[in-house]
Amino acid sequence: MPGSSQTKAEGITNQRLIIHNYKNIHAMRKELELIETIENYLNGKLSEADKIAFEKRINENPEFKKEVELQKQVLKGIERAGLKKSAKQSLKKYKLNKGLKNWGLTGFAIAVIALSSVFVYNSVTKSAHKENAAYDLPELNEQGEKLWSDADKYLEPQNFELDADQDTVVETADGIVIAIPANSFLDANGQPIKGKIQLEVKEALNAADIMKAGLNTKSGDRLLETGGMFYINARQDGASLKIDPKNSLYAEIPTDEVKPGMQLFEGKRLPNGTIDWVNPKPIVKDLIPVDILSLNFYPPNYLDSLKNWGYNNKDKKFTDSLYYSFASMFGNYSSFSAQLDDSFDSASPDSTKKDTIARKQSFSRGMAADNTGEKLFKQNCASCHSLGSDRITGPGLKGLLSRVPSEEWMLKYIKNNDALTKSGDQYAVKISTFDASQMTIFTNLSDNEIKSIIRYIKECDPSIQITKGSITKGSSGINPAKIKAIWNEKFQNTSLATREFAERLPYIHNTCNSAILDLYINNIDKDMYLIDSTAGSWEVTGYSKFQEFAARRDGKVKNGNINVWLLKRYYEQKSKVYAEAIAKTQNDFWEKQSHADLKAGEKRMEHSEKDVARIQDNFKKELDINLDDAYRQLGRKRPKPTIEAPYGVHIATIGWLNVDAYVIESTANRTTLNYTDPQDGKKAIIKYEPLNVSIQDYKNYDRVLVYLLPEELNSFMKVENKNEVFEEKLNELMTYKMVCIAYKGEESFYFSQDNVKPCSLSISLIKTTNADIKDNVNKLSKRSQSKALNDELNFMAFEKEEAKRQVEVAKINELTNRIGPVIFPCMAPAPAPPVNDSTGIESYQ
Amino acid sequence: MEDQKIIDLIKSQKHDKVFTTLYKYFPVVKKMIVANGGRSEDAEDIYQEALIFFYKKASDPDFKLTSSINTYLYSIARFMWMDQFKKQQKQAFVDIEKEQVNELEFTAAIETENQLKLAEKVISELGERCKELLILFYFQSKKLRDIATKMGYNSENTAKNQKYKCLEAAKLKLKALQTND
Repeated sequence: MPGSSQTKAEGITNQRLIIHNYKNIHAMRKELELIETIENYLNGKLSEADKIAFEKRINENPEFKKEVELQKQVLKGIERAGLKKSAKQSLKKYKLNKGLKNWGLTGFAIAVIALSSVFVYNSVTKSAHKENAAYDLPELNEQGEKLWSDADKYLEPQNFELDADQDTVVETADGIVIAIPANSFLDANGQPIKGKIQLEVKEALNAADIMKAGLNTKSGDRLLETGGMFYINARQDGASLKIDPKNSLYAEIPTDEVKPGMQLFEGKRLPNGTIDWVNPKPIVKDLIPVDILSLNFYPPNYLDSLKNWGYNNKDKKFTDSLYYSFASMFGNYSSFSAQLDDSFDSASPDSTKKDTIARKQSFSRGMAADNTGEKLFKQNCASCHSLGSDRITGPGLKGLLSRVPSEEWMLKYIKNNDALTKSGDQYAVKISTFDASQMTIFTNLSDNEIKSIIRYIKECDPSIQITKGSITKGSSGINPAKIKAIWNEKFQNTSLATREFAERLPYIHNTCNSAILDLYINNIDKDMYLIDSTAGSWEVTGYSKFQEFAARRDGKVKNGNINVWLLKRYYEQKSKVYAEAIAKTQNDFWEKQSHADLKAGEKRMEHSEKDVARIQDNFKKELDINLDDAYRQLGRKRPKPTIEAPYGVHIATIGWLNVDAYVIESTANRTTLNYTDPQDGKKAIIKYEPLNVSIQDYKNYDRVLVYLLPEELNSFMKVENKNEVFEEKLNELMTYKMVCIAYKGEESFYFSQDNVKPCSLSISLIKTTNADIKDNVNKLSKRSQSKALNDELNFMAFEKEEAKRQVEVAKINELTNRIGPVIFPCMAPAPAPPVNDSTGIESYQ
Repeated sequence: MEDQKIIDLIKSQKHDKVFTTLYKYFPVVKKMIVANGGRSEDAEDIYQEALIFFYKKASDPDFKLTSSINTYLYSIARFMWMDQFKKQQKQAFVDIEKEQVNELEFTAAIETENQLKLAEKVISELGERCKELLILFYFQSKKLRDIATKMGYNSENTAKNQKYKCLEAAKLKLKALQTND
């Protein structure tokens, strides 16, 4: 017992305290014990016996049950609290990353180069460097001064050695990609450096590094949102190199979100060790070309819709041909020009509809792709005209092509503006009233020379080329022929062969305005954001999206395919060529169909006429036979036929007891004749008895035909059927041969029997070929019969093919109707393509 | 990261990585909430709830992903915000994403979750030491011995006792709150 050397009184008090505490300890322990027990139960750690006892207690004691429930809930609450904590941390990380978006680059221009070798910094080679220790720095910084900032000291340098005369691409540990063209570094005399150089990069892209380096995110007093900062320097033999401004580096900084309005700031070291960010310049991102054929130029939802309807959207031949076939819905080439507009005229202000030869010539001249235009311009025009907006002697030529009536006009004006004005040309006159000074006359220049000058002016025009009159026309859809004209090898390595363009295409499709498409194609050499701005300023569907694109400041493909002129011509010409070709194909197809419809109608007419004749013939012949025999049985002479017995005559009243009438009725209905002569009681009986033929596996066949070939007739009889049973009444006076034919897909089946008698037959058909069937039929008795039967079989075969064709056409129509609105989202529900109402005649069976 | 990879991470209980990765879908949700009368903080709160909800649902071995995680998260957040939002105003709802998951899929589950929010609240009000201890043991499944070292307890036994005391406190608090409900 915890004793004490106290007074009695204290001792007693202490004892009481101890007892009291002891009691409390017990009380707590009991509670805690309970919790422990519950926990063990929930974790399955109780013995079987204990577990059973525990569960019994739960069932019997509602209070206890609540306790257990409560504990469970607390545990769930803990789980949630843990997850919440984790989620909160992730939120913090997210916010930090988002906050880092100021480009703190030390003054580089941005350009693109071709790749040839890649160095990747391997951070495994990290030297044993203590955290937060400063790095060694050379004596002079890249400016040649002795000033270093904290950032220089505390950020880890990444060193690369590369060849100055090679194109190189470097990637840093945090993912900055720097493209360094060959010969981009200069020595003190401005000459390109050769040989090995050392490249040093320091980066601070995340919060930790930025803080470690003591970097701030201020420009003067202005707080900036930063996207990351880095330092780059190149040295050879310890001396810092300069970058050739005409051949600059290109750097790509990894980011989660491309924010518009981002700018490039230069870092200026301050004496206190920090860096101030100055000289903001807007960033234009260069475009990287990819394989144009790997991009998706289709209208939005085109491939998905096809997939949803069960078509193979991976078959490019199919998806292409389907899409392009809709080019036939444009222009003068179909009857639907009312619905869809052709913006061809407006798209090419200078294309003449006349001489293709002339076009070919200018095309091939363009092939020379020399700088004659530039030379001539400099010799003849530059003294009076600038290519910008400023005026020298004459007005600045910026935006000229958008102002003048046409390039044809320009040609005339340049050649001899005096003559043109005097001829009364409106625009020329306008200029002369506005501008007193007269422009030189250039009759000494050839047309082609002037054309090359115009071309040069066009190429140098920094403003966007807008095709005349283009905004109003062409607003119901983008012609697939135009897409076909650009979606090919010719446009590789241009701004169209980029993901950025492919990104914009769905929106361009949705504007339903060809002019927007033309805008991008005719200005392939301009920075894309300029084109985006122009598009965004027009009143087209979804123009705000183009404004968004503009804010991204996407540029162009540097050193890409710069034969802009060539490409434009190509685009114009090919669009037209394709549209014509496609329209022709479409028309040919539908013409073929209408032709086929006509023929089918004729054939069916022919067949039904034949059929009628056959049945009539058969009836007449059989009637003849029956009459002969009836009279023979009656022992009388048969009178000459006085009434022509037409097919299907039904003798309702027998007003005159002419035996003929009974025979006619019998024959027509194929019922047994049982006639008693009222005078002498003689009988004439001609039996008609049924023949039932059931075909085994009837349901497996596509078509089953049963024919009877009576020896006495010239043609065949077609047997009707109810499901699998074919039934016909046989005349006892005739001898019948039976032929059964069936088809299943491309397979044919056959059976024949000579001299069938009335009975019930079950037939199993034998697989054979069409040729064999024909042979068998030919071998049958009468030639007239075999001919008739073969004709009939040919007609059946024809019907089969016809059915197939109809199905195909129906499928095409269905697909067209479904995909039409996807390809032309701005059209009212597409009208059905020309379905030729050729025959107006119903088909007979 | 592919959706399936994220699900796999959830099944391996890598909640940190999962949440960090899934924050990439936050901007759209934020847009939706802000477009419908919410503030930035509302968006953050709702998104956290949505993440937790999704995480717990996906942890279930029977869980099958029927749409993209993006769509799923958006739908959950939308539902949660609508719930909250309905109580405040009666305006037409602006949708940012077109694709959504049928709400019925998770309406019931969200209700259950809401009830657990009370328990969570209790834990967060327990006091930092208790909260940390309980999370370390039950959520992060750390051993008592390690917890004792980390939190400065004399012995493993002390830690164990403390754990039970904290649990008891939590239970009492929860009980009190529940009877008040």
